[in-house]
Amino acid sequence: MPTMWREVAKLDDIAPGGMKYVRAADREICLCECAGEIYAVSRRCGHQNAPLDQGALEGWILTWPLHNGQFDIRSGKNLSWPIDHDMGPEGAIPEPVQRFFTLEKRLQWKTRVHDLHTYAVRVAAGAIEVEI
Amino acid sequence: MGSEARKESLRYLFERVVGPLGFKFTPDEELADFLLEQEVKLEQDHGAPYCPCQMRPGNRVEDMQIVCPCIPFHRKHFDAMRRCWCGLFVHLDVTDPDSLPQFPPDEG
Repeated sequence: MPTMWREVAKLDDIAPGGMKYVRAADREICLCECAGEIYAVSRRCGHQNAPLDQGALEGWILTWPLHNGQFDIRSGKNLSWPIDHDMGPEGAIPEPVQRFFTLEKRLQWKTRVHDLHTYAVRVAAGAIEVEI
Repeated sequence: MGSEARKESLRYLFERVVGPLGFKFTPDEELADFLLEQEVKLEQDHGAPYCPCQMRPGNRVEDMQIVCPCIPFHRKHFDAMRRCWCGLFVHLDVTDPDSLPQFPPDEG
């Protein structure tokens, strides 16, 4: 399928070190700014689909908003595994909830984490264009 | 997910944390690489890049105090040694990490 460059945002729309969700050609894309460069990755987390623009960006490392694993925005590669939620001392959690967390933990570790799709980006006349 | 990529990302994140605390990675590259490799394995097995040179006490609060870089939780001790317990981080002015003493916290 042929691709084309599509304007998705203005350069001024994204703060240094920030992220922005854009939608183009039915794709959800997360734009990321790192050291003066713009990167574009699929917005949906490769673990459980959470919107990555609501995670945290530290340089080129994007931390998932749900389970605190990380991706490299330059390559889309997954860098780490999901991290369990800390719900405090086990004794303080009602038994049915404990069982739920045990099940959730077991499923978390069986959930495959996919790398993110990355998009080519160019900036022209103050506009961010993504190849889709 | 490769351990090399994870080591690179841990190095990147840690540098941003330890620099403002007055520390840097040890100039001994081989040691740094070895320790980071162990941290990647610990993260895979236990969910966090724990210090590879300290035993996890087994309760969450104390365990979290040895997640690398654990400098803020052991500041006085590490400042006295001019290195962290593992030697992964040393004071910014250190050029010869092998010359630094390692002693228990109560012997500072």
